[in-house]
Amino acid sequence: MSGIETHGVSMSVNGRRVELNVEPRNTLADVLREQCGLTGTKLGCEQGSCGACTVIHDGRQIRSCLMFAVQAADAEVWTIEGLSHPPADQRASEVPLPKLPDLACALKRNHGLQCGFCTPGMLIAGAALGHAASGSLDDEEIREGLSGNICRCTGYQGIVQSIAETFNPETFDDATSNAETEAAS
Amino acid sequence: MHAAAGEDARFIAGGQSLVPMMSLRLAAPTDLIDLNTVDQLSGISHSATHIRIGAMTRQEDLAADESLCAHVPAMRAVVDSVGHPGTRTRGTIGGSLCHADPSAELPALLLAVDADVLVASSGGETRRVAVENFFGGYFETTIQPDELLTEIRIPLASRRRMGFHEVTLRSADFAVAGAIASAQLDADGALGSIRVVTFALGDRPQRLREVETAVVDAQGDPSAIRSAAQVTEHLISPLDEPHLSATYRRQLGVAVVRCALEGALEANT
Repeated sequence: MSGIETHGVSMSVNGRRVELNVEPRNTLADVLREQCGLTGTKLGCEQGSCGACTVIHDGRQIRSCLMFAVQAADAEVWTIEGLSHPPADQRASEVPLPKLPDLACALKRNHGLQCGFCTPGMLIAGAALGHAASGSLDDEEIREGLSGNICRCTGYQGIVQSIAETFNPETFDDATSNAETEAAS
Repeated sequence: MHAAAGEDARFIAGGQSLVPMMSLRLAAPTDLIDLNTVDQLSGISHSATHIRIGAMTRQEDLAADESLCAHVPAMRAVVDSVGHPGTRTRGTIGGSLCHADPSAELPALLLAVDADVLVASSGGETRRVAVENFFGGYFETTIQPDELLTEIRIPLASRRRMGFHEVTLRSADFAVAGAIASAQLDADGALGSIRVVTFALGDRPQRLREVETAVVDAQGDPSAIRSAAQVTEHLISPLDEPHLSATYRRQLGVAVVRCALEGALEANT
């Protein structure tokens, strides 16, 4: 593969600075998976339709299959690995979507996953939805907010329920348990 | 810069349409020129007469701008219909215009509020183009290869009332019929003028002047809205597709125009 031009790119991934050598055509998703070994980010459609590759880029959810890695130069990227198990030396306030581990527990309780392929993207999109909401989320808002994330197993009921439990605590006071810490990755 | 990169080079804005097209091998640019690092192309500001929106302003940021949403009441509902939450964080208003997908909502919205755009050329000249003259047909604009869309300008209007309605087969899927109406009220609350625009029902967003005239002549009378909307079926040229016949889409066109008109005029009655 000689003759293919590569670019040195530096970015922060899950709170750690990484230096990468990437081809201009490489997507952020491919580089996260293949060079950083962060295979929690899934590639479903590679056309921006399914949402499985959702990551956080400079504080906003994006589709990592639609961004070239060179475009993420100097950016702060968080993947499902870092969001579910924040690095111990990272201050909690610096990790985006602090309630994502709670949402992961709720998904487990509510059978909100089966094969698990959509789960990393679903967790990030769901936690981003809850994080941005000013008040309580109704069913329709949750479904609309997840419309860009496709799950072919569950029928969505458990996922919608999990988001409601996690982000509408006043409705589900006794349902939320933070005892479980296992997160999908 | 575009000239130096060759004729098959493309500017990339949010990449939420261009990159999927590349993945599907529908587009194969030799070079991409990334506009995401050009800060001057982003942001929303006001002049004495216009709201100025940088071409690289993200769709999500349009809906978050209180002042913009106050001047363009349909903005939030329209943006919520563009793609998904995960694409609106990257997708831009200028990219949506230049992609020129006839089923896109933002181009129709901008036509409805009589926006115009600034187009800069590599020679350093800037020209101003009304959104009505911006589109050339399916996925085509009148922008030249050495030009770049830099800014969108929406005329300020304090008494603008808007209605928006679209039909999609699945939530957040591409629209198969849509309409936006933008009414301008006089100081005494009377209907001064109205723009009615359809999208996904032809090769570009389209103004329905006959409908506009009929509605203004009737001063928004509810029974007149119904008959005015009915005219839509003779004005639009929807595609005839296997699961969506042109006949059906003409009927959808009438329905979405009526809903948009009612949305724009109900606050007025």
